Amino acid sequence: MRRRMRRLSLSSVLLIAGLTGLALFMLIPIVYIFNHAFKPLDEMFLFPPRILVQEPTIVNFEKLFFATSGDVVPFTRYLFNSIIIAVITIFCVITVSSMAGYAIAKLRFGLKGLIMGLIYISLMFAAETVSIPRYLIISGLGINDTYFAHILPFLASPVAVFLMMAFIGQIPNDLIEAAKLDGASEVAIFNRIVMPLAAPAVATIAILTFQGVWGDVEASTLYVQDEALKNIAYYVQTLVSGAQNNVAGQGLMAAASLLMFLPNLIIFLVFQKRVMQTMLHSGVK
Amino acid sequence: MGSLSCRHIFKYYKGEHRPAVKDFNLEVSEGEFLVLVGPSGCGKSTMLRMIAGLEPISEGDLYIGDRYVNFVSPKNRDISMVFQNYALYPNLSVYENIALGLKLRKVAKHEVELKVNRTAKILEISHLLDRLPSQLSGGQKQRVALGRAIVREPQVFLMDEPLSNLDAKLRAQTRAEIMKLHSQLKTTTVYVTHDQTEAMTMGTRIVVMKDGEVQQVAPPQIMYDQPCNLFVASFIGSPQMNLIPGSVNRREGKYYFETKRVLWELPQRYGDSLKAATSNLRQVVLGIRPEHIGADREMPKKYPCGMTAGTIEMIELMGSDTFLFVNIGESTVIVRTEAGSPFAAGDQIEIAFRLDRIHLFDAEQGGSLTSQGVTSL
Repeated sequence: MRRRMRRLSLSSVLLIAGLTGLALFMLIPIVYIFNHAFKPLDEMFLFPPRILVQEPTIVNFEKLFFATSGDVVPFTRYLFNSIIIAVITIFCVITVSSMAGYAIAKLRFGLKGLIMGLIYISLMFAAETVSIPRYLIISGLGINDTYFAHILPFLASPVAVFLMMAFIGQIPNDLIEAAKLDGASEVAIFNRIVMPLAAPAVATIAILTFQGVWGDVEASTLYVQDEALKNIAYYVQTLVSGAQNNVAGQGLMAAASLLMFLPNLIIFLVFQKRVMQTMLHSGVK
Repeated sequence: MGSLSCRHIFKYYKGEHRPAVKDFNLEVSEGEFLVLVGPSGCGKSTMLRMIAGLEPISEGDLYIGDRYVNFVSPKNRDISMVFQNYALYPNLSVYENIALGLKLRKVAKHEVELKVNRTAKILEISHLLDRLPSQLSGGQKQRVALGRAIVREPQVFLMDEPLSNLDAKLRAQTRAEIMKLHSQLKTTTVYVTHDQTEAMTMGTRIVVMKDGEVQQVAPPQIMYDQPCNLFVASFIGSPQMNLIPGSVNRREGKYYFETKRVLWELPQRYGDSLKAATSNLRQVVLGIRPEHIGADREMPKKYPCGMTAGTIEMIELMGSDTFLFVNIGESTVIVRTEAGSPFAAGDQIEIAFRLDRIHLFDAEQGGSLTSQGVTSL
């Protein structure tokens, strides 16, 4: 222990202290939201206000789940929508991006350069800049007010293709050639050799896609008018903006936000190692 | 088992005017162990990949057995290949690595099991079948790679520098095992290496390549004794052949090798080939292997010898024998002597060149003047 202490220079001590302070600061909203979500109504009105909850209760969650009075669509419906959309989107994005990534990284075909160029270019666009074309495409296809309106914009994910391409590019060609000589078709090579080896990249893409689609309000705002098909992110957003100056609603809001946030946290904690691995492999950091 | 026939095969890569493989023309008979050897970039691996079907053939015809296979996909060529870095599937166990080729060919399950177990027994890897490749040592991985190749009982084995990732001891051992395996299975094998020792010890025939062109095709001993040009002479043999530039002169019907320091009369038997090859005076390179230069006084009594004096610059002890690096003025030659020779660096010694064992090469073209027509294509 002592030896390790001695090895730390003053600058690294300062750095660690500084980063720890920053990390604690970043933690404040999370601590705050956790406590708020479990506060009974009377604690909301305490003066001076306290951050930490005194007598935790789950009444806010009960209200959220069972008594969304006045609304036609219950909270659980939004949750259900979000889960369905997230699952389908993740599955589709992984399928599309891994196939595209494999083709670009390992196969020889014409126009490969052009396709790669287009993918690189599309990496540069912010999502907002393409909402109008997206709207036109979705209404042109006539899929407004369906789950597809949520899914389609995420399907062509240049980031996912780029990550898969970079990761699959690392798989030695010898492996693929050995499989060819062993008698494997392209499909067999993809399923049996490439996909198992690309598992870390698949995990990363699953997380990134989940985060994107789970927190997405664009589809619910722009492409979906039917309240029963909107997702939880949209619901929480309207709840938050509707209850901004309402102290009594804060507990409910915090509970909804917590439910929004928890899956992200859990997924990230479980997969963070694999994400870092993929990012390092692909040179994106 | 099958033969292999390469007829005038060329490989051109886009944007390069020099072909990567030029007019490769060779018949490999059934059960032969053919070694392609040459420095890196000489086209040997490209040639192997064309046989495997991993690279398209630009020009020429390829037959495996009697079948024309230019446009047959790799999996239907009935070949198997061992890669330099083993190329084991990291996510599959050793058993599954070996079995995959059979499974993909829809071989019945019990037969797969039988074949994999038999192969594992031959290669002594039965106890490793449940492991993943990451849990194996380099030598074990190489055996699994060999297992994957032999389990399918193909017509031809292709091996692309399979030993170069192993350490020296393991390499020698695995080399012997591959030879043993070949004598058991008698499958036609094409083996690529850049290591001339591997080529000499393993091949029933050796093909030396350089810049995409075949230099010489011959069994190892003939390759060693009668190299067809300067490149082959210097590439085959370790330590390499001594090369001394000079000229050949003809006086009164006799031929002499001459440098600034020496004038040696060449034995009569070179006369005929020299007569055809040279005019009166010709720039040549004399090649002589280290074992044909002697530092003992008995040598000139037994063989026709050319004598010269030199200074020992360095001594290399190999255990079984000793190499003397002797400076003879224009150049330094390596002399192989017995272990325990009483020499020290800096000694002045008289050395004898066995003139019956020399090679003469054209200084400009590099072609052999003494083993002409013997072993070239």
